[in-house]
Amino acid sequence: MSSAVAPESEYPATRLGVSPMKFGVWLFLASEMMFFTGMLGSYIVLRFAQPQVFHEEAMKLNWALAALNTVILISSSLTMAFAVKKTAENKQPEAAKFLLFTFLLGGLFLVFKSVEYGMKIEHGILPKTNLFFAAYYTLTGCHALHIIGGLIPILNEWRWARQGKLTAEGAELMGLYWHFVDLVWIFLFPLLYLL
Amino acid sequence: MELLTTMVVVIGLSFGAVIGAAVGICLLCIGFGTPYDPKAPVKKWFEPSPEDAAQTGPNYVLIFGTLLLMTVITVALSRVNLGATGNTVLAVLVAAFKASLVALFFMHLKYEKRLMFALILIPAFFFAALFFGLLPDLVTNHYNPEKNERPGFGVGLDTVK
Repeated sequence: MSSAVAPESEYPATRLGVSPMKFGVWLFLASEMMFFTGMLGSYIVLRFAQPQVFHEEAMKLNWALAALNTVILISSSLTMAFAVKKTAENKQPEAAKFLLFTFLLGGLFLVFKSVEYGMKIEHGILPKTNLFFAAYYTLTGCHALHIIGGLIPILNEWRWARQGKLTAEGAELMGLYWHFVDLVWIFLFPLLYLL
Repeated sequence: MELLTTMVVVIGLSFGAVIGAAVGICLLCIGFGTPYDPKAPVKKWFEPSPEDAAQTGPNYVLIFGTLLLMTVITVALSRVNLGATGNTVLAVLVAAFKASLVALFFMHLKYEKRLMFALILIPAFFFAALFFGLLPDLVTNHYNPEKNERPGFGVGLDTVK
């Protein structure tokens, strides 16, 4: 059932030495890293201004649900890594399966995240309540937007993989973005919920 | 007057940092890139050589298990009380270790050319600087922004009206 794989992208042997698309994605990830660094850095600054208050406010968050979310996201990173590997081995149907798992796990993360938001909002805790929750909603909200932004291309790549048209490079670049999103959550989880 | 000087210094340093980063990226491309050879055959992004074919790649499940274990350790370490600074630094260090696992193995950084690695070190440096550079000032200066207190002044004595 494996169909012909689209040709790999070619690039002239320039001074760069690596695929320009991969270099471009890494540059994009570097800028996203700075985006989250700015917000996370200011969260740390605000936390150290009033550590006791932030600690008490953080205790209101449900860390167990967030730990479950962490496990879900790390699992989605694992399935994404397998999808990339299967695409490189030219096994498109299995790659499609793993891409679907990644998409579903990412969606599950969003489900639990909205459950968490609902639990806070029905108690009247909004971004304007205090500084900690302003930071919390901003950080997790921007991260959730990045997840939504990643799920749509993953769905697209799943569609291509089912048609046998997914390139190994396309899968790898998607994997880079998705692992970066997981990486950001790995930093967010202890700094927001556990400190 | 000090405010103006501070602003000039900060803006100058930021410009310098940005230009330095740009120059740094250029130097890294020149240093670690391969020279341009117009007669070289057009390369595919992934050329499996005999060594590559023999390489099976990282053991993803092992890395996944390690990440889960580190998550458990993160939660366990948060139960130990080392003070605000200690707990934060420890949490960031553990998170950085987990992040390095994801970056090196899942994102294949370990198997990439050195240029990629160097490209990530620059934002990583800024990340560390933004996190830890401001800590020494703030750890000694407790102020409550919601009570209109400002850092660096006597807390409670000098508030913004």
